Amino acid sequence: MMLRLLPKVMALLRIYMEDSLAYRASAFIWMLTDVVQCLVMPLVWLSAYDGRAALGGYQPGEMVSYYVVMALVSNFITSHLMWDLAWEIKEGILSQWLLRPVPVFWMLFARNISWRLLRMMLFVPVAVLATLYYGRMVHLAPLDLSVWFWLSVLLGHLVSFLIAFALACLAFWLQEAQSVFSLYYAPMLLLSGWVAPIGLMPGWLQGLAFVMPFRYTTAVPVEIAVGKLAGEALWFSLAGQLFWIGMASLLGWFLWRRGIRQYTGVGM
Amino acid sequence: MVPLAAGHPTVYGGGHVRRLRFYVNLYRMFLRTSLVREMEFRANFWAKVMFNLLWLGFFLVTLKIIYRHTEAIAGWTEPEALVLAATLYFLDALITTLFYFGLSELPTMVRQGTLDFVLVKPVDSQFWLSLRRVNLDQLGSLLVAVLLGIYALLSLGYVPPAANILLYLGMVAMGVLIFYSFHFMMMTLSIWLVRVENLWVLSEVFTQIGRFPTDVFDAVLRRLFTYVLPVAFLATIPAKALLGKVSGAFLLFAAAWALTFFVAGRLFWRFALRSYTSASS
Repeated sequence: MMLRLLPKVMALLRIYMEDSLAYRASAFIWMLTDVVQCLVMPLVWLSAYDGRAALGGYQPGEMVSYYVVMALVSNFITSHLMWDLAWEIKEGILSQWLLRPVPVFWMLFARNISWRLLRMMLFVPVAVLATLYYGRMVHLAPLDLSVWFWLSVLLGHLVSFLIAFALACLAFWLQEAQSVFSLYYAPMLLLSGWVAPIGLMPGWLQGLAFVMPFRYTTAVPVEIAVGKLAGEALWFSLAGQLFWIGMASLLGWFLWRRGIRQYTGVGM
Repeated sequence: MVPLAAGHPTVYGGGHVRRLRFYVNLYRMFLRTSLVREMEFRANFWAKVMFNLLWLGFFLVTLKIIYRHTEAIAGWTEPEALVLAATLYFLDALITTLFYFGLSELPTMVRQGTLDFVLVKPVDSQFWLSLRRVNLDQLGSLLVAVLLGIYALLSLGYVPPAANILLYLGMVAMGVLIFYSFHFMMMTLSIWLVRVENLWVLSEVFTQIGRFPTDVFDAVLRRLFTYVLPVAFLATIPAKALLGKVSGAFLLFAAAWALTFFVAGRLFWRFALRSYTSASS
């Protein structure tokens, strides 16, 4: 089944890659939010050190690396496909996809990952510039880009994609799914480590981060890269990523199946 | 030729007072229609208040995370940073009440060709585009911002003299005007960038920079963010004015800058309209 799908998925990837390129201007504008995050947050922290060697175990160089790697990695990992998909479900655009020879799920997967890859590639030069800029101010330690890092990036992408997919399915039932999506962003940005390293948060928030899925999208790979996650904690975190892939798949599968039944009922 | 409708200022034969009265009446009409709209979706009111509170909480948690580890960010203590947060939230509520959503529809109108209907109206197009949507559901957020500001000042143990409060309000007004002009210019870009659907993100980025004290930047960037891309006026400078760290004379500079921005926005819009080719024709 998977093997037969592969050529189709590759073909879709090519199509969607070209499609994504057509939205260069949009991608560029979105990139600016990451640029600003990469510029503002490290500088806010750097002006909070006040001569101390480390804050919460993060040396200045590690803090800077954290935000630069976070911006780069989250460009690939953090998926926002629910906005488009919800709209496409509501407008009935989904109908034509159901007739195609490729399962809609894989089509969405190809479309999402093409866009994420483009966004990440666009950000690479910014990350290089940021490294040069901060390199003059602080000592940037080399990153730990072992095989576990790359693995957790891939797993993180799947966690985020599957959650966004499950969320989008709400559009089968809710007229205003958009407001639910907006609510999703505050905990997501906080607990995925986008705002600040989870290790620096108060205890209750850390506890929350460990049991919610968001940490297993971007925080895990970034913490590996800056050398804050090793040994038992690393295995535990990778297992957490697998766990959430399983949970989100089940939820997405369930909602999609129920939703599709409902959808055809309304559409025909 | 633009058809002259009854009530159009030139029908009266001009005159600044008449013209002004016409626009005051028009704004009153906008207020009324917005209020009617609001009454229709009353459940939304509390949903929006809750939603804004969520984002305020989000920002306060961010500040809390940083202040767990330090006493000051670039010289700003925690209560001072709360004054900053309250200011940002206050400004944001004003912006959303007055023009944000109405103006943000401009790119969609360009794409769908409905901008034509605005251009043929016997009203200044910028006025109509900017002010027709008054978001009264932001009043709750305004109140929360004021309460947060009072709380911050109390924990700082500082009662600002009346002069500082006036200076503060003046700076906030300039901040709103600067943001307005910036947002208007970004939305105007849609005349050329018809297919770009996320121009609003540019304004979002503008506020994203202004969210923290601009003192965290080095001298070059700080000057850039005060004089060229004046995000410092969104929160840092008004908050400093309230805390008595800005001289009154600086308000003159702020006003001059805000006015320059406003005129630039207006000229940019005129310029853009010259290259506007309607989507429908």
